[in-house]
Amino acid sequence: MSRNLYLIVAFFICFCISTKAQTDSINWLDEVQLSDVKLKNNSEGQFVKELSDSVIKQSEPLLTSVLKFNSPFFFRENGYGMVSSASVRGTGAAQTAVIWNGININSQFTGQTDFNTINTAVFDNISLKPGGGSVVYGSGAIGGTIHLNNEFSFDGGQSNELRFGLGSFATYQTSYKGDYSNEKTNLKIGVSGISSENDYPYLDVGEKNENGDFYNLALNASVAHWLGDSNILKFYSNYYQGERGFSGTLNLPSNSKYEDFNSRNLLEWKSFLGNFTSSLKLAWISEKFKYFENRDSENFSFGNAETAIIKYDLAYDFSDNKTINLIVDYNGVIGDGTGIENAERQIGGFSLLWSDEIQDFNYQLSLRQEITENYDSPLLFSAGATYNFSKNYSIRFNSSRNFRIPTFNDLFWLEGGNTNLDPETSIQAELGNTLILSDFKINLAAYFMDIEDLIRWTPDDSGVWRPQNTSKVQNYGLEAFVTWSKVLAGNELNLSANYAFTKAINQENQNQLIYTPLHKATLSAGYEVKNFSIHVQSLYNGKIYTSSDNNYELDPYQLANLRVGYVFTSDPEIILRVGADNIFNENYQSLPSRIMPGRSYNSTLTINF
Amino acid sequence: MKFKHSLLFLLALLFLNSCDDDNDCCLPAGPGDEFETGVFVLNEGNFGSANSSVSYIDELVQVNQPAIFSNVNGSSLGDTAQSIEMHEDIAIIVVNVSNKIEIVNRYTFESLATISSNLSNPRYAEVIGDNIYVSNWGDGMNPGDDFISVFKLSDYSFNQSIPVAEGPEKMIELNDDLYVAHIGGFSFNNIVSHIETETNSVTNEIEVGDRPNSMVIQGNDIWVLSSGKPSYADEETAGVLSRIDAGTDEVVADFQFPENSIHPENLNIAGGSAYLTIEKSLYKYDFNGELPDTPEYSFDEVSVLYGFEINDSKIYIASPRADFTGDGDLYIYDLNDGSLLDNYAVGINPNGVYFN
Repeated sequence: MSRNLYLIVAFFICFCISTKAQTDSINWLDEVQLSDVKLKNNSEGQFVKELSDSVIKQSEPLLTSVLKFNSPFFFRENGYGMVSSASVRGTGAAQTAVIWNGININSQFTGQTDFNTINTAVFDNISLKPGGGSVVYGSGAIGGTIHLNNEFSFDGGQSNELRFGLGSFATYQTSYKGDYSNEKTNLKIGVSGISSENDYPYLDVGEKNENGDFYNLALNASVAHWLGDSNILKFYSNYYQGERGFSGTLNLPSNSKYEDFNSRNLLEWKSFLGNFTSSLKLAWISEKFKYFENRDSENFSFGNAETAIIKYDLAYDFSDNKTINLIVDYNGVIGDGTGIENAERQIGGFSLLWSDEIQDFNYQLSLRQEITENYDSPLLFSAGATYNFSKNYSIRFNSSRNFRIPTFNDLFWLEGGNTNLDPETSIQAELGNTLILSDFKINLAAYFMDIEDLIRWTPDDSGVWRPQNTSKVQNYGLEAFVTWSKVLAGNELNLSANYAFTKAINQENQNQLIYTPLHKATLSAGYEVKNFSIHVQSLYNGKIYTSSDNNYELDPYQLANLRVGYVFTSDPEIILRVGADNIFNENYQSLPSRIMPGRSYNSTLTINF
Repeated sequence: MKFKHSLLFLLALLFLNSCDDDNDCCLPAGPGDEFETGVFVLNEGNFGSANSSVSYIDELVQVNQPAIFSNVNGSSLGDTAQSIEMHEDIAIIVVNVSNKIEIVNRYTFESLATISSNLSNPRYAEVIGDNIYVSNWGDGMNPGDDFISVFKLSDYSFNQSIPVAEGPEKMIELNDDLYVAHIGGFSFNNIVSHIETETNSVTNEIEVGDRPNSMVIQGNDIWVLSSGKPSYADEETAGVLSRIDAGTDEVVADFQFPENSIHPENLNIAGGSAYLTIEKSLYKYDFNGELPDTPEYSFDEVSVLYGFEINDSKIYIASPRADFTGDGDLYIYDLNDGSLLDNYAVGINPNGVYFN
């Protein structure tokens, strides 16, 4: 990575010397600023919740910590900093796609993203989009998508942010974010690291979390540069390295260790030619892991996968309101590892996106067909519409077919991999509405999805565990996102609440899926008085079943975090925040026997200059 | 874990044989005893969840008591209990992932001792003379660290450890010596090792079929059933039934199943015949040199054939749910005609059946 970074910096320092005024870029603002324009322009009939920079700053840097208090999604955690996966609208871990600057980064081996291997401090914003999205984002976008984005601006500004943190259980974090721009070029650099001994006591039992130590380091560089008046080059690079002891459980000691090395690079060349917008993207993604069952030994198992993506997207604006996109892409992956040999997948894809605005009525239709030798790919579609009754009320509808393709482990795992698997497919629909009542903004959605051919690993008659397209699940539920802003005593009070009611019913036995709560709610509030600020985050997770016969369950729990901030000086801005997590010292588990931390303390010092 | 194991019937059989000239085991149960006669089902629970348990079933009076270890002792049995060895008035419970052995009174299930050192990935226990022998896989990824640990029966203290070839699994006693089937752990192995208990050293490694999974004794012979390598191996191999002459430690006969896709398990003896399972069907072998090619009958109710024992003309099958979550079942069949006699709900992921 460091070599990449130096090259980029050197390259752009040379080019920045000669700058030229930029014209006509206003119309293309979104195309220029956003790394993932489709999230804004092609999510008709769906709700996109953006978590602001300030929410990210108030939270711990691991993605799980940010989202569990700021989304209606449920997280299954093996412990603080340990393996963590999301359940969005009652779906499984591989049915939520994590999208980095428009590119799906779910693991080729497991089909999921470990939310504790994403360090959020290097991103500009995080967006959540519940609902299907496979037409644009590919495999796994069934329950929803989570977007990690970097944005550009050409305002000639320069900013730097340094942050240092110290917390309980020898947790240290530090990050730097730099943003330098002129009219032609914007360079952004983010570096973030966190380490923790993570030896928190298990409440009520007198033991502590052993072998849970971890560190990770993330580097992100993004740069955009205008070539002439109508061509822009954007380059994004992300590198992540992490090492974790896998902590044991209550009765299970562990001495294992896991190392991750992920790198993602994306180059985009965008051209504006009259009514045409052309985008060529090249991406190179590498994921590597090493697992040491015994961290004191040299023996490990491993996996490597390299992904290359070429994507060409041509948009034509028939008018201000009608746009068509034609997308052709190629995705090639090779992988190997312990128990996996010569894993290879090549996918060609064609997509057609149509969007139209007729006064207060917007609609979009999109289709995608993939072609691959590994399995039969279904025709994917999405159809969405929004009708704005007034400025304060709108209603939206979206229906889509989405899929989750078999992973390398599913297909090629030597002990049972099944090359005859089909993708999991879903047909889903949602109806939502947005209501703005003076200070309130309320988003309410009801959804239904029917997921077929779920891939499950079960033993066959001779006892060999193999994945099969066996189960069928129907999910339905309600989702609410509410925000409220009010000036009280001359200062703004901000409230934000999320709620999800989730039914995920296995069609064989009509039981609720395991590890899927019926209720999840979050509530956060922030208030500032002069130099002081106070911020409270809380969540409620309902009980979850831990067995498919619903005979076993884990208790519901409530958590609350408190942060108090003080601004010492404004130029440079120096902010000290101190806080306590889990202030009521709740003893809770989101997976059986995986005890989560009780009350802990943290502090951060932020310097903006 | 994901490996089948059910030779314990044989151990029980041996034990019963030894009872004939050893009255200790047949002392009447004392006051407060609850489990004098009946069936124990060992439920391994979920890996990493520390929810192993033992169910107690008395067929005569239709009693079905869950979680007797924790009810009696007030503490959890641990994580992924693998097997139980019954010896005289004790039951030795090997708890694989917790790396420990719980020793209880087999009639009351009151805890007598916990052994939690000198074990690494323990699988099965066997008592010979004054010692408890425990097979250990060590690190799953390390083929060179497998061993048999030896503890004193008198005070459960550690005696010594015997390094052995990869993947020691079930063990059996013959002529006061120990025979260990090396299934191969997470890999594959194809030997039975002979450990002389006088010196606690390996005297012979006898090559049998791939993945020996169960053994029975007939006279001075050890019959070893190997399942063969599974379909995901580099080369799939057929199951083999081998007869070892314990006098010479030589394989004097072996019979290979006709197709590489046939992987037999659960060798048992009852009424002078041997029985084994292929997938969910029962096959009978009459020691006549011809492997059976047609099943006696199938166990259609069973979702996963995970634990298998024959006792008193009845077949006991421990069957987890297909997805290995939630409560499993104990199915009891008539050995003569395969008819289902009874079934009981047991704990999470039952893997073995034992008898008092």
